[in-house]
Amino acid sequence: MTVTDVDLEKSPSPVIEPVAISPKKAKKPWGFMFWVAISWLVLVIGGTAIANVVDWKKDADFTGAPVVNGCGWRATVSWLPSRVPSVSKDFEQLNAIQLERQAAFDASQSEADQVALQQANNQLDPVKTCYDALKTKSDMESITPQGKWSHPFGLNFSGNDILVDVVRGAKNSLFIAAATIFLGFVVGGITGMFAGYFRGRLDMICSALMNVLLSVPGLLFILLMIAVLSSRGGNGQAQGLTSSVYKVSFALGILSIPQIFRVVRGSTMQFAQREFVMAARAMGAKVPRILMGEILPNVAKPMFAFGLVAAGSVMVLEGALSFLGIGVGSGTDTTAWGKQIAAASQRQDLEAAPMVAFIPGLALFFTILSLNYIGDKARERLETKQGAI
Amino acid sequence: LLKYALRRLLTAIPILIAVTALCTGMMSLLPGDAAGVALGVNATKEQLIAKRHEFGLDRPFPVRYASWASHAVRGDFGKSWITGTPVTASMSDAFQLSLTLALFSIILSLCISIPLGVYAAYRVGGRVDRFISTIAFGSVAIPGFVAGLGVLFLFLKFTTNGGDGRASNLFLRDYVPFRTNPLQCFMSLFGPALSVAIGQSAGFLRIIRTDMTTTLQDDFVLMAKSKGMSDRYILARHAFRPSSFTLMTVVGVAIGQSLGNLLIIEQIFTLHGLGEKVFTAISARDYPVTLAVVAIITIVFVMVTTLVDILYGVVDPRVRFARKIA
Repeated sequence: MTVTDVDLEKSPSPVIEPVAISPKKAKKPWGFMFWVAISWLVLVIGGTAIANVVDWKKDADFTGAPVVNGCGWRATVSWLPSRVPSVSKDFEQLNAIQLERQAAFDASQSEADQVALQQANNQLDPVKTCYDALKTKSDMESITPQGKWSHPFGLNFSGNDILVDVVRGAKNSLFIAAATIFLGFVVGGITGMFAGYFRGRLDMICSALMNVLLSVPGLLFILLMIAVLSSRGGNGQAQGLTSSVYKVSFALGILSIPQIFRVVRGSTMQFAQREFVMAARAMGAKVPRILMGEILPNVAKPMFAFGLVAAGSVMVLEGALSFLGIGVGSGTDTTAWGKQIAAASQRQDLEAAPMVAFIPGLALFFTILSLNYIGDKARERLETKQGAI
Repeated sequence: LLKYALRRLLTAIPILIAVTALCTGMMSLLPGDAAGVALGVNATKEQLIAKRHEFGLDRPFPVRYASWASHAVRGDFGKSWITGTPVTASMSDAFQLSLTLALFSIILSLCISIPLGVYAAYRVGGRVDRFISTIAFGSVAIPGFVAGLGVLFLFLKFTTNGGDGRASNLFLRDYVPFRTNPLQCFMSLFGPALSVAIGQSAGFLRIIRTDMTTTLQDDFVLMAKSKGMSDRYILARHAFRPSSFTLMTVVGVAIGQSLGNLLIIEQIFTLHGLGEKVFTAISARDYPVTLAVVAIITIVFVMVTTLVDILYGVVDPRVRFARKIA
């Protein structure tokens, strides 16, 4: 709310008030869903903040429970770090099944039947073995309810608590979204403002460049960028695609520049023709002052709303990248939502334990949804304000 | 109109050149030596030099780009560095699949979005409208790969009739080219197309709804109504065409972009399309294959956007006349 608005409201109303000043409408409330969306975002951001502080004891083996075949079936993380998970009973059951399998394996070895050996080996694939054992117990979830609240969503295929992984995975998505939008606005926003204000040749060159960048196939471009940025060096032998948070942010940021450029340029062009800019120019204001003092504050408001929505679409792309295994957390032990989804998206896994894939998916969905919703609401409000001028 | 179309096509060429040049440049920035990769670790120095010469890596970048472009114009994208097979031949199947899938998903999402969007605009603010709009708003936020997994899960869960999913499942069979069996082709692509269409149709729907709502407030609609025309006729004949311009642009862009974005969906449904090709090619530093895919996708993108621009004139007489005057 600007100063003039307050003044108008508080000034003793003159007689002609209804004619001179349109009666000030009461501000539309944000609505219930808006606060739900806000609180979801706060929850996610707060969760990432906590996730860095709390020691989840991620890889500590559960004492007393045998880890069979290195299947990594660790009951490690309790939601409240002080509580000790009590899933040893399940481990006994699991162990029994594993021993059975082991016996079968040994038997087939004594027969020396190559085919049977192969089958047994397949069955003894560590993760699958754990998983098969679980399937006989009908479901992933059924193994966990011992400490009812120790694993509210159960464990995933690498034996981590799903909820904890989701909380830990949020960090990268959020960071990348923020960094990308920042880069996009710094480069795209500044060039957009200059192009929109000065027009002419500068605008033509910038727009042509951005058009080229805009018609590059997006996902491919990111792939290429990451390939270029990854693993520079060594003996000249190519090493697969490795990536980090910074590489992904950089690639996505480059890709977001033209979109932001276009929007900023458009709205700068709009504002550059308004009376107050002309007035400033007539008063002899220099270009930097007009850009910073007159245009930027006006452009920034709708851009804020656009940035929120753009952050949502960046998160989609980021999730897609880490789903493909080239985004964050490829190879390393950092985790990301896309990676968690990918880890549980084999057909059999998906069929039997869909929630392992869908819970991080839902987290991603809700985050994007709330970003879109907040962006939408903010734009609505800012636009009506513009219209009222 | 023809003149305009030609001029539009001419402006598309610089973009094409710039994009492919950009990608060529990026490829040449790639770390690692492609010749070394192709020959393996035990290659001698002479072999390496010979291979580099064969690949043209010893020539400067502009020369390399020029020779690539002159071949590409004639439909020859060179040979794959890894397998040694000509790229054009190995690409055509994958391209066919991806294009079919892209078109199918666009058609599917148009089939979903147009009726719903028009109805929502017809009863703006009503219960159905609010319901549809809410659903659409939510669906826009579903990431494509999550939608893909969801569709895959539903298909696995509810359409498998015993046995090991893939073979027995009508929807999850291997891809069959359209020419051999259209019906089966659609069946096999239905899942991927649907998962693309979920997000896409929601986007289309919102656009149709907004445009249609503003069109319906125009005077000529009121005029038509006062002449006693039925609502259905007005919606279909009077209001739809003027409100379809934004949609056309968006559909054009969507066709162009979906070829690249189908990468993930293809991965989920294990289809061997362009996405898979380019993914392996980039990982293996297979320069010609990557370039070919990028070029193809960019060509399609530019062509479609140009086509949409030309179509404007066909659909909107005002544009046509404005062009005549200009």
